[in-house]
Amino acid sequence: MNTLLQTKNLTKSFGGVVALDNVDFSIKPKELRCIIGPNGAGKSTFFRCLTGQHIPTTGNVFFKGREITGRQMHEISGCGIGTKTQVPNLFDDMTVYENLWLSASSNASKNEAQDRISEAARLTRTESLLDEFPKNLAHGLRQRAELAMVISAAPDLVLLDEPAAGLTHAETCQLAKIIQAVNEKSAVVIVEHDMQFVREIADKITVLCQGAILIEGSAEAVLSDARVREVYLGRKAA
Amino acid sequence: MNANRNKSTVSAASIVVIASVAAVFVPSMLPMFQAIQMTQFVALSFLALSLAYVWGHGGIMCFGQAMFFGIGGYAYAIATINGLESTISLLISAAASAFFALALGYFMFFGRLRADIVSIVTLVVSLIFYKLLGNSSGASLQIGQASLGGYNGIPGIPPLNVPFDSTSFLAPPETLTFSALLLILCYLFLAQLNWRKFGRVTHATQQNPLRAQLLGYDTRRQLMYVFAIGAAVAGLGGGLFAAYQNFIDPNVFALPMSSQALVWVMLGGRGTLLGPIIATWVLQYLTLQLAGQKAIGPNIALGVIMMAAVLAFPKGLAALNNISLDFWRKDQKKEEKA
Repeated sequence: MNTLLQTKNLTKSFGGVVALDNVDFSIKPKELRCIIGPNGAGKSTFFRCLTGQHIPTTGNVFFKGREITGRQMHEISGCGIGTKTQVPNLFDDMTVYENLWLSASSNASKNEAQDRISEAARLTRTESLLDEFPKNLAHGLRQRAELAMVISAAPDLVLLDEPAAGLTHAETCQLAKIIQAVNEKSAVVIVEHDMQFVREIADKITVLCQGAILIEGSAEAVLSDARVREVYLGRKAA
Repeated sequence: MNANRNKSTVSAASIVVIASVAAVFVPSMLPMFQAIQMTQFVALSFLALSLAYVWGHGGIMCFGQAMFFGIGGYAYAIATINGLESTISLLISAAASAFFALALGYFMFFGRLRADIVSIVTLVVSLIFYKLLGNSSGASLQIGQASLGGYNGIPGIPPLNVPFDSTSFLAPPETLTFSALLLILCYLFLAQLNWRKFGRVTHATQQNPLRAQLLGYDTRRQLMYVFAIGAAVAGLGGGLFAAYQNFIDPNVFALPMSSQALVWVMLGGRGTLLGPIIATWVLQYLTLQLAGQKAIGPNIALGVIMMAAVLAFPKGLAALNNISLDFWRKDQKKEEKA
C-alpha cells in the first residue's frame, strides 16, 4: 500500500467562507508530515474533516484505500485514525490509567489492552502518572497523557493538533523524541506553529494558505521558499 | 484504584446485605397497613433509581421518566387482566418500557437533539400519553379483556402471585419482600454496570462526548442503551405499583409524577444510586405525615422542606457526613481530596 491517507478536492465552506479549497493531500504509511500555515489557513478545519468532526462540502477522503468521507467520528476512529486535539482533551474524572484503558479497549481484548497501555505509558514517559487525575496535571503532562491515550488505540495514523503548544523548550525537545518513537509504528500528521519544533522532526512539510496547499516538500526546501516566508513568516522576517 | 474499589465494594455490599436481611425479615413484623405503604415506597423507589441512573450516570436529564413507569404499569395491567401470571407480566412491563425507550431514544440520540431538547421531548411525550390514555374510555378501547378506562383508569388489576404459580397470591408482607428484593437486584445490576466497560463508556460519554467519539465509541448508541436500561427499571416499578394498588390511571404520566422523581434524585444526590432511593422514602414518609395534620397545607410544607433541603445540601443527602452511597462516589472523593 503506497498511500495511507488521501484527500481529493477536499473543500469545506462555512456559508460564503471557503475554509478549505480543493485540497489534494496524501501521506504514506509511517510517514511524518507537518502542516503549517498562518492563522485561518484551514489547518484545523482540515483535521476536522479528516476525523469526521466536519463533513466536507465536496471532495473525498480515503483511508487505507476506503472512502471515509462524511463518516461518523467513531467509525473513522475505528478505521485506525487517532486524534489529539488542540486543547488537551481527556476525561478529567478518570485516572490517566482509565483514560488509556478506554482508548486501548475500544478495539482490543483485555490482555492486549493492558500491553498497549504499558507500551504507550513507556513511550510517552507517563508511567508515574497512571494513578493521577488529568485535571491535577500541569499542561505539559496533560499533553503527554493525551498523546498516550491516543496511541493506546494503536492507530495507523496519528493526527496531532499543535502538540507543542504551551510547552517549555525542554518539554518540546522531549515531545519531539516521543513523536519520533510513535512514528516508528504509525504515520503522524502534525499541525504546528513552533517552527523550531517543525524543523526538528519533519521529513516533509505541507503549507496551507487560505484553505489551499501552497507548497509541499522537504523541510529545507519549504522553509527556504520565498512564498512561504511571505505568507507565513511575513516579508520583514524573511 | 483497586484499593478504592475494594473498600467501596465492601461498604456497598454491607448496605446490600443489611437491606436484603431487612427485606426478608422485617415485612412479617410490620402491621398490614405499614407493609402496604412500604410496598408503595419500594415501587416508587424503582422510578427514583431509574432516573438516578439515566440522569446521574448517563447525563440524560429525562423530564418524563414517569412515562416509563406508566407504560410498565399499564403493560402489567393489560397482561395480568388477560390471564398472564404476575412474574411474566412484570417482565413484560420492563420490556415494554425498554422497547419504547429504544424507539424514542433512537430518534432523539441519533437525531443528535440537544440535551435540553431531549428533556422537553421526554416531558411532551409523557404528557401525550397522559392525554391519550385519559381519552381512551369506551367499550371499543380495550385490549383483550382489559378496558383502558380513560381518566378512570383500570381497576381490578390482579396482585402479585407466587412466581410462576398464578393460583396463589402473595400476602402484603410477602409482596413487600418480593418487591424489595427486586429493587436490591436492580440496584446491584446498575451498580455493577458502572464498574464494567459499559459503565466506563457511559461515564466517558457523559463527561466528554467528543473525546469518547474520537476514541471510537458511538455515543448515540450508548445513550440509547442507557435510556432503555433506565426505562426497563422504571417499567418494572410501574408494574409493581399497579400490582400493589390493584389499579392504574393516567396520572402516572402526569407532570407531578415526573417532577417528583426529579426532586428525589436532586435531594438524594445526582451521581449516586442509593441516595435517590433514600430521598424517596424520606419524602414519601413526610408526605404521609403532613397529610395527617391540618395546620398547614401538606404541599406547601413539603415544597418548603424540599427547597430547604436542596439549598442546604446541593449535592444531595449522599454528600452528608461524607457517606459514600455508591461505588462510583469513591473515585470522586479521591479526586476531590487530590
